[in-house]
Amino acid sequence: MVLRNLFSKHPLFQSLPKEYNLFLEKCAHTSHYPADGYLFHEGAEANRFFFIVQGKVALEIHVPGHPMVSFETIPRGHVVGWSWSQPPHSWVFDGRAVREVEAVVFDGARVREKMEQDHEFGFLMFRYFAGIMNKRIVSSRMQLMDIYDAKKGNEYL
Amino acid sequence: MSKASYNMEQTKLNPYVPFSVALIDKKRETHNTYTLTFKSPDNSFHFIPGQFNMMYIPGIGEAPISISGNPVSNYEIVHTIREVGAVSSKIIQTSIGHQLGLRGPFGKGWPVESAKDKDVILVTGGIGLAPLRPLIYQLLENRDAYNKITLLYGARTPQDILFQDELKKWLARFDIQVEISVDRDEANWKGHVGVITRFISTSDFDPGNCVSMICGPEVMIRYSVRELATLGVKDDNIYVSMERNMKCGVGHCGHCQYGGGFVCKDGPVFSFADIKDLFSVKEI
Repeated sequence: MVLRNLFSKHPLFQSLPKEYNLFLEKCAHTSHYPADGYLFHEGAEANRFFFIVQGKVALEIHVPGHPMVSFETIPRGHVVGWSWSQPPHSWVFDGRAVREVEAVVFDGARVREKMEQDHEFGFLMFRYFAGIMNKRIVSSRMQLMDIYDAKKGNEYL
Repeated sequence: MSKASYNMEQTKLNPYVPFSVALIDKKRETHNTYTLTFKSPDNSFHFIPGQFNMMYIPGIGEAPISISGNPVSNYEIVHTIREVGAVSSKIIQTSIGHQLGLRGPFGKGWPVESAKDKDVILVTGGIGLAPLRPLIYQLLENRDAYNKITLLYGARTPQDILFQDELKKWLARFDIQVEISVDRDEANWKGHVGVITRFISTSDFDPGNCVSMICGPEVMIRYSVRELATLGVKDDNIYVSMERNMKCGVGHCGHCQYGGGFVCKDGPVFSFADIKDLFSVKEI
């Protein structure tokens, strides 16, 4: 019940029939990560995804000879992780708690198995995660455009 | 410019004639952006948040610069200027006590009145926070007149964040939600990294009873509008501040023509419903 309260208003759960929400609830538990603690590491098996209740998670990549590069933070209210859904099911980046994070952690392996068995559930989950991927790709492209660069206009604001 | 003898009355009679203003304070906001405070010649400078002035350096040129001060402070004229061209560079180089020319205020401002009793969501990026700051002052000074207020501000890096002292104060308030995000991380930054528009969907506001005001790079505006529309915010409740090459300030010269109107006279703040058809036209 406590879990349901945490994520019941989230678009993913509002878009799913009750039976699927009950299934996801059974696959979930809450977890806390201290500031600078890692939710996942690049290369490790990806068998979870996270709904961020409090705090934020920095997605980082290691560049040899340099400090870790944080290219995006995922704030509260958002979902982190889709590597669990795609072979080879290993994390592509590190996920670090910038401050203390409270998250609902989902068993991605169980969810994936259910998606393969129940294609209606699989479709609804993929539709949701494809939406996340789409937004992240758009965001990444906007970051690449460097839209706040002084040389790209805005003199007259 | 120190020998100029213009005054505000002349500008009111003839909008092409600048009046001279003396610089009384200069504050470095970032490596290339400064806030300049000029003394209002007769302590009676009035403006609406979102309006701009034409700032004039003899022999160099004139540039439209939005007003970033508090609208109730009639004794001073405040501009936040980013150094990107010859005119803006010379304006920033002005020394305390020296004067330059000014015409204005020009244009239509933010819809402060029609936002009353509604949630207000402000989306801004880069130097775009400067034209919104007078609005934020006004909203907070009349806080009870508005429902939830949200400020979403995006910057290039942590070093590019404007008005850092004020942002800290606003972040500490319980009656305004503030989210700041940078596109590029730097060491010791504990804030958000990523585009600011993604916070629109998780902000606490009623899409059916809100007014959104957006100011920043046009790309950011486009994606903000799209996100707001997805949530159900109607076009006539979205206001955007447009940027064009304004010259005369009164809609005569045509430099800033935008469809059938002019950004300097009919804007710079437009209802998105009024310019929706123009918005996707390239190079207009």
